[in-house]
Amino acid sequence: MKLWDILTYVAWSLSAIMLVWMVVDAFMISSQYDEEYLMSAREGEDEIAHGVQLDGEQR
Amino acid sequence: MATEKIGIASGKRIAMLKVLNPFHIWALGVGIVLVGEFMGWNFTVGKGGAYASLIACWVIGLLYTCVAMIDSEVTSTVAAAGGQYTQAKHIIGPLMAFNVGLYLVMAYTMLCAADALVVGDLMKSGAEVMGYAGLDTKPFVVLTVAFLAWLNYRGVFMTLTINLVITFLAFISLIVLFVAVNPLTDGSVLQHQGLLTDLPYGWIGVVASLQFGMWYYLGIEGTCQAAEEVRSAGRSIPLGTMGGMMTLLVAATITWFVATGLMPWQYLGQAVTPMYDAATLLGSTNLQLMLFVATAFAAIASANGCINDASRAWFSLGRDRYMPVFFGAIHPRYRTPYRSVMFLVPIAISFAFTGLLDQVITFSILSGLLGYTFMSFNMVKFRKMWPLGSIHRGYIHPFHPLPAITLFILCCATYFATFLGYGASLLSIMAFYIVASLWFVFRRYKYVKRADQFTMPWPRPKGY
Repeated sequence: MKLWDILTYVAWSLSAIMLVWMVVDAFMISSQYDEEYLMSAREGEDEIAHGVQLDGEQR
Repeated sequence: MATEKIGIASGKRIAMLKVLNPFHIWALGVGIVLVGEFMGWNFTVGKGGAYASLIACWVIGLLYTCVAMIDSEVTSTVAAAGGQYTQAKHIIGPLMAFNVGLYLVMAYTMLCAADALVVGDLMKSGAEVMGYAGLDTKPFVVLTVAFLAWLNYRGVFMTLTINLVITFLAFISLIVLFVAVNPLTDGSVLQHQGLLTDLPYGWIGVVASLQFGMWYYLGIEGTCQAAEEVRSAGRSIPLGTMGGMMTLLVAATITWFVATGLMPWQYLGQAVTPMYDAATLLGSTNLQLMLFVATAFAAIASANGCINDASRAWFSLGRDRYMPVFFGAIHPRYRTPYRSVMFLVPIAISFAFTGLLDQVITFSILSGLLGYTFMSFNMVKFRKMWPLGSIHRGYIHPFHPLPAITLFILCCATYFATFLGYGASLLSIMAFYIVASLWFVFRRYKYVKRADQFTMPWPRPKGY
């Protein structure tokens, strides 16, 4: 078996390991955490968003 | 005994980590684009000759400078993941926002697929050089997408730090190539006097070349997808974006200068890897190896940035219920939109497996172009609804409304250029977005919580 044949199998194997790892981890997270908590991120929670002040700007 | 799940009652809300700095923003923007300097830009030469390519380089450079200026101002104010989607939601309305969100997801996912295809093709070329013909590229395409998705799943800081390193190395390789051709003495290595001809197809060739001129800069607008994960978005986004745009203008001009001084336009206009070919012509094995590795780095950095950006856009659509809310989840440990990252993996691989690199790229370019057209309207409306002084802006771009008008005119010229070369693709992509819009209006919008859409604590807009 040539080097490139081995590399092909290594590439398939590594891909499978990483994809399976992500799926398993995602299931574990879903089993440990409440859905409401996982989806509780809110948009715009940033210092800019709260900076309605007009510092440095000319009216 | 049943184990109790960790819920919102146990603590505060979950959020993405604010760990990025202006260098990461630079790496995200330039990383997505730089592969275009190693391949793709040279199709402008095929459309209209070497001078047409230079005109396209600078005219499209002007288009993207307008994009960078407008994006920097609006994102320094609307600092949220989703970038232009979130801007559209606040400034224009839900249907525009849905379309912009879709443009972003499609543009970046398609570009990621194309980048993975390039990595596969590079592996095949490498194998051929080493005496192994007919290597199957599929495992390397899948490995590229899987590894980068895994990286994106595990955290944004490491993802973009890696992008910073490999993008910088790829950029340095262009500088090394530039120095290697002894640019100050024309004639010793570079043969511009003999190779530069008049416009072979006249000025219509120049217009036609505008479509592929986008390869020089496509994706720099992706910097604003990181707005929710960057420290001090009002400062970092404009710094990273404008710095990235300057880097790309330099890289694009160097690329054109070196390649057109070494290869006749008839060859350059259809070359697959022009910068690697340039290194080969110089007869240095070290330069050849460097350009081979740099091309691979640029393609990987681009795919990496695309997964980052597409997942943030998809996550934002999910968070606002424009798409299933399931995708609006954040990983409690890594603080990434992990479900969106995973969702895009099979889509990117499917597109890559079609092997239709030019069609995939055309879809990506047109989706990007539709987004830029939106930006010109968006900017005018933004300044009209919230004039200077009414809200805090991290950055104010000069000469308004000139950049917005210039952007719109250049977008129209590029649509025409695309119509000349890919008329059927242009029309079918337009049809796709019209059908998607109808689906959103009649089937999806009822799930959107309308009262939750406007999240910025801004005063009532002028005239409302």
